[in-house]
Amino acid sequence: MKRALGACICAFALTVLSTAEAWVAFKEIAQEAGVSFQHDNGAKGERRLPETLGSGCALFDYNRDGLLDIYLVNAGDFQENGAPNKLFKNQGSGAIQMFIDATEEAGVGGSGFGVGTAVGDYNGDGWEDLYVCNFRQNALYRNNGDGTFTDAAQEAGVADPRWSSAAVFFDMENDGDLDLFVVNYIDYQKELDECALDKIRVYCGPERFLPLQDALYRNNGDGTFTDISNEARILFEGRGLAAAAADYDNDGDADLFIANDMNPDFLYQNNGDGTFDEIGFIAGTALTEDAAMGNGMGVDLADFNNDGRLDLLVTNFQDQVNALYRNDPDGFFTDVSFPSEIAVPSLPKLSWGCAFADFDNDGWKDIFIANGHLHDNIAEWSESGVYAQPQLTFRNRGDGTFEDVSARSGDVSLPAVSRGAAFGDIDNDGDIDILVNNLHGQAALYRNDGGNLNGWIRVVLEPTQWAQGARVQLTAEGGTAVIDEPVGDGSYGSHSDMRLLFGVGDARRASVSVRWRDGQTSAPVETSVNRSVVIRRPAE
Amino acid sequence: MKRRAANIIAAAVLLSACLLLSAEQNARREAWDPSKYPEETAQLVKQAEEAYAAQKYELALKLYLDIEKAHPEIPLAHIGAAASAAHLDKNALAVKHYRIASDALPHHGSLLGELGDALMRLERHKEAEASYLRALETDAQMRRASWMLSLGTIASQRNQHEKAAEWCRKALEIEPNNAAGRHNLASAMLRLNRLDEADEQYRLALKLNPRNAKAFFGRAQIAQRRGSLYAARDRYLRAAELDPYEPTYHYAAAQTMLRLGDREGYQKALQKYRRAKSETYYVQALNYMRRKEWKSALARLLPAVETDPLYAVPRRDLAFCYLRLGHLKRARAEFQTALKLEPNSPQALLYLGVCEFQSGRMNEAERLFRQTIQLSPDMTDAYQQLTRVFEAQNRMEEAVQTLNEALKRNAEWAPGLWRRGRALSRLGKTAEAESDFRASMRIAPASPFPKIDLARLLAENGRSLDEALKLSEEAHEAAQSAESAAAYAVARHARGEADAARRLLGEALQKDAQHPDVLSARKFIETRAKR
Repeated sequence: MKRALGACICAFALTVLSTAEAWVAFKEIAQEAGVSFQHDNGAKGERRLPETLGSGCALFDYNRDGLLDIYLVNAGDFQENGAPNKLFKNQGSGAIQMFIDATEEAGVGGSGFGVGTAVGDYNGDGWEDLYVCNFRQNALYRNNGDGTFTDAAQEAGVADPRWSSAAVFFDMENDGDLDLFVVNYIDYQKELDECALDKIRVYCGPERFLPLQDALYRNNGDGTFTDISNEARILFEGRGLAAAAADYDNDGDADLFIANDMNPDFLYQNNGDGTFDEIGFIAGTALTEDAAMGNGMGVDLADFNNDGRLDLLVTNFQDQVNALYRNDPDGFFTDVSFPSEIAVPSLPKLSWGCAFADFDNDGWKDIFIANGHLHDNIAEWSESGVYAQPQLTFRNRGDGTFEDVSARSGDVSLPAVSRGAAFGDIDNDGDIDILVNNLHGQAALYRNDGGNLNGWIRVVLEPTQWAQGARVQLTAEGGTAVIDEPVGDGSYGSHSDMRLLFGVGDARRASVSVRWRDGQTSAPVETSVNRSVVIRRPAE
Repeated sequence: MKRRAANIIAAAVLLSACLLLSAEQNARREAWDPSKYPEETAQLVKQAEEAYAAQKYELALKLYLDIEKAHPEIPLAHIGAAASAAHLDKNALAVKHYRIASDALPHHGSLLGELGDALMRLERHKEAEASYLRALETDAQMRRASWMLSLGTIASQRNQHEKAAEWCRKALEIEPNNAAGRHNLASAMLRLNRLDEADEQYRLALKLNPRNAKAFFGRAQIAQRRGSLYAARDRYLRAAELDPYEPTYHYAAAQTMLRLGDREGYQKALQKYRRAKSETYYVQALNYMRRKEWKSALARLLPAVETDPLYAVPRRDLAFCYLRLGHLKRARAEFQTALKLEPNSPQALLYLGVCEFQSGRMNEAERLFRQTIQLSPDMTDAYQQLTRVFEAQNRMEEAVQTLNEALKRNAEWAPGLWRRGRALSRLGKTAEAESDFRASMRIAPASPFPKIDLARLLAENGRSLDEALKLSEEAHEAAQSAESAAAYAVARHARGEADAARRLLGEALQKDAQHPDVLSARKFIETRAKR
């Protein structure tokens, strides 16, 4: 957001914000900001399933200059060579060109058919590393700290050759180093991948292929990992497409949620002893309220109703609801998709990347969902399906319901065939912007204009390897305490800003405290609004 | 729908009597009045109406289409064709003819309504909506409420629940006791989270039909959203009792019981959910399997077994699909899993044996086929498969013995007789072989296999060469296989038709150069040629 809008405009906007209808506008600035990225799905008219998945993206600070850089995963021809992924270095919003292509110098282009990506400082050197999930072998780009990366997947033991869709760095044992969870999709066989509808060639669904077991790699602390899936009881096969790790049951360790395509979704509860129990059916997150088995595409966890528990958002296929599960005090989740009013606008959409994010800084987390059908020829055989679809934005009313504000959110209402979405403050102006990777199209960068008219506090947790899983509590002056946790990897194969941006409305001061994932706490820090607060883990 | 379509035809005939008497209308009336048709057409109309009334819709459709071909100007032919096609689920054809009929009779609301219904079945909602709206503009009185409810359904599918509710209310003004109308209105209210109004409508729907499982489910959801878990549980369980095949009800009941601390109830309901859900996939798979669309069947069977891993039946059929698709390893693994769930399943044992046979593990195949026979002594396929094992190992005496056992149980088993004939032939017992081939042909005259072997046997022994030629010709016409071409070649060569024999042998070699029957035919012809 441009601060130079002028005081009178701000005053006007503040007046507008004070009404119930106030909302932000997103402006698409990818080209003007220098993010020139064309996704290639390799489609040649044969209509093969891998062409439909698209790819994720990441917002992370690879060179530690305090600015979020951009990584966009590409696909290409799944039978031959993949198209190169791209890394764009953020030079700051004052630069002539905000982002420049740094792929070549960084060495992170890769040649795999990419789907998702995850970010985490797995070797604890202070520099964030990249993991890329591919149709074949996955890549682990170790950040050398000098602007370059080295693919260390083989030596680290995480070059999973199966078709992986997403991954999550998280610390399963709270021992300080980041472990890796990899979501695997299907055992693809080209000879089974031929489908037609009324003699029209269409993309097959995933149900005709065997699902694959996901993988959990324990960090050995020496730059290598060990596959401990079976001993950790990560046993199930689910055609997974997305995952996120967060402490949903407030017991101090990170649990895992996996959104599965044509399978009940998994919720792996961390037992704290190196094992997990899959409790999706028990917790009520395996299926939606009407027992629908969704085509899970995206996921995020955050506290949307400010009750101190992380709730769950799962995106699904067209004619399925995007499911909002409220985390209740009794340990169960309740599907509140319809009562919260996000279900009905979601039904015509085929949804992918998503997040809870307080876009208008009013202290309540809103929702963004990226959409786009997977059948490019849907218009030939369906009345209701549309290939390019507008994104969905929901404003949190603060009473457990959301208002569909998609149509008045600026450029996000323009139709696109979107997949991965990442969220973060790219211009450090105090509101959350959105990066979207569009299938076989140009990436979109939506700048949030208006969000920072309300107050905000950015919480930066250091060192970065300890940020994931830390529980941050913020109490704004005159308000109640709200919590948040840097989730990072999630959405649809994407990674979002690990710095937490709290909206505080019109409060002028706030207090911030942190409970680190090893149980240590940081004393409350008092701060004024519209500034960043850096909190270091005590032992550091 | 069926009764409505019959009404349409009856109404159409009635309408013909009521048409106004303008010149044009007179002409149209003549077109409607079967007595004005040529005798032959009037007869066809009568036959078509009789076929329709007797629910012989294929025949009725054919007759109406014949009439329509000869007299496309007769609306009755189009209406009859459309109504018959609708019964046969040929909705695109129904739409075509309802459209022609409704263009001819634009003020006939029922036709537009039927057109709308056919379009709905094709999920062409936009056109269906236009048709219903036109139907409502006419003065047709019957079924107005039904059209309004359909419009409500269209609105609901577009997620326009206020609009859907409005159409339901209009329909209920006409038919206050329309249970579907009450239910749809309640569902729209529930979607809008207007719980009091939804509950009121569900109650009214249940008064009209106390066995409406969906209404119980709706009321359960309302109770759950209000936090009344005990009421929700009872209603979910009632819905599940009324419609045990709907997985949703079991799942919702399971979740509610779990929240109430009833883990045992949860486990039971969850298993019922898994079975019911698996069953829905399995039923879809069966339709594909009947049509031999193995890949599509596979796409339904995989979720069926994933949903209920303890359900042996879809697991077995999944294995069978893999086998048909040539994925031998997967088929074998799935049959083994199915046998763990159902150790005495003859079908699983039999097809696991087939996997073993195709993988060359003859001993294991033999063991499995013998076990199948022991469990299911009347399963002729098992004897046949066991015979194949013996044939492959040249254990012809045992093959004959196995088939003797099967034929003792069913002396009219044509494939068994044929197979025994082959085994006897290989043992040099030509007279007994011939007798078996002839018996097999008598029981299954259309089967080419005994004809092929009998023709070979006769031709190679230089007997009844005319019969051999006739049999091989018939068999080759039917089968067009390598074996039939080889037999035909042998028969022609035995009659001294060397050129024709060589041409047929070439055809056989092209089809399958490694087939033992083809190789032996080649040897026979080459040996004779040298002589």
